[in-house]
Amino acid sequence: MSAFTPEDLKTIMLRTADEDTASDLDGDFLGRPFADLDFDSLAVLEIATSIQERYHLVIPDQAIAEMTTPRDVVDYVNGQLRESA
Amino acid sequence: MTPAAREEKPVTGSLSVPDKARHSRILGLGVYRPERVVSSAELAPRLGLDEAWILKRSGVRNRRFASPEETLAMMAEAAAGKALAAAGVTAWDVGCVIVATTSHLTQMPSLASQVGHVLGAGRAAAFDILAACAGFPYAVALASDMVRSGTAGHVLAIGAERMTDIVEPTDAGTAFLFADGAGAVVVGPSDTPGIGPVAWGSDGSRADAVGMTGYWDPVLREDASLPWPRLSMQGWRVYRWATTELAPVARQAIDAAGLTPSDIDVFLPHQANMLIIDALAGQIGFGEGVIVARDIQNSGNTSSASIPLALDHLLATGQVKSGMTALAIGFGSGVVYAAQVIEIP
Repeated sequence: MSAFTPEDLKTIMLRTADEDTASDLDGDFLGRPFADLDFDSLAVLEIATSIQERYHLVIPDQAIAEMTTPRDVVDYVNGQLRESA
Repeated sequence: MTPAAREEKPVTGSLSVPDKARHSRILGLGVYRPERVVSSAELAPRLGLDEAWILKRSGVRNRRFASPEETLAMMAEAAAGKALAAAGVTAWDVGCVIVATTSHLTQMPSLASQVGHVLGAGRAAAFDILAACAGFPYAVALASDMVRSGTAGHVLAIGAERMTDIVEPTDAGTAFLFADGAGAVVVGPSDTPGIGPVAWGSDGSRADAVGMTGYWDPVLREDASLPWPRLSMQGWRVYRWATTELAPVARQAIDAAGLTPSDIDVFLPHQANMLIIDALAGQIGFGEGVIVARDIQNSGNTSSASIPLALDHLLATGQVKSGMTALAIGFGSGVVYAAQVIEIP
């Protein structure tokens, strides 16, 4: 399977965010903490759940707990996709 | 005892128990809501939160915080007294008092023994149970089995909490959610089944989802600068668990009662969070007309008191009536969970 790109994540994040909190994900958002991007812990869970469904992964709680920035998510998902390739 | 000695001692009798198996039901409900109403608009600024965020992520508009006079015992006694009156049962006829509580800040004596004493339940056994936000269905399950087996004639099952005593008031993750109150039911004998078999369990591997920050360690006495243990929750872990694991438990309880989800008139989930309530209500497969308790809007999360408080609200506002079939499900720290079908008193 192809890699999980920052653009893929951005698409999922924009779908997760509602109008009130729609964040500015232009520029370098990858290294910014989710909290600064107005994504609370439930929103991060929602992102992880979308990724689970789309990429047929099982993401354990502990892995989600360690996803503090978008880059953590991209790195985790690519690691899992490589393992299952 | 050696085999030889066993042969020498004659058998003098065999144990017998009276066969009293019968049905059980909830005969009466009573609640206590603290006087003081605290709105999310009032709490939000001091927690650095938006009121809109609190509403969107929890559904809580208002909650009740107990005053110093509204002690855990006072609230439990008030709720239990009303439940006895509603059931038409005197305290003297209560065979056992069970209090489910997570916020009774002493090891002994139990809250149940004190509540029983004040009410005049002079013949009752009494004990507390700790099953966090699943406490009420746990207590009802125990009460029902006691009545059915003849261990007790009538049982008071009480959920009582002063969550504000164990919540850190500046914790933006919990302080807007948890609140205070008490609810009680009298469980007694019945000609027909009024409480279905419990579906319950636990999963200690999820202990970090919600719990306390530490123990009441003696070192706290020696160093006054150390923080007291407080409630700590990773709400998303609770949400994930509840919305992936609990619908099958609910269906198991319904099946054990010989019903299907479409037979359920009223859904009484622990009032944890509106998002969990809505997700569960959608997953279980109820009929379209099912009435869903959403007392969390005005009561917050009162842990073991939330289910009776929610039922009281539905009855008081005429949304449900006596005789309807409800599914109660509680879930919380442990994690632990319990569900059963009940006939509304």
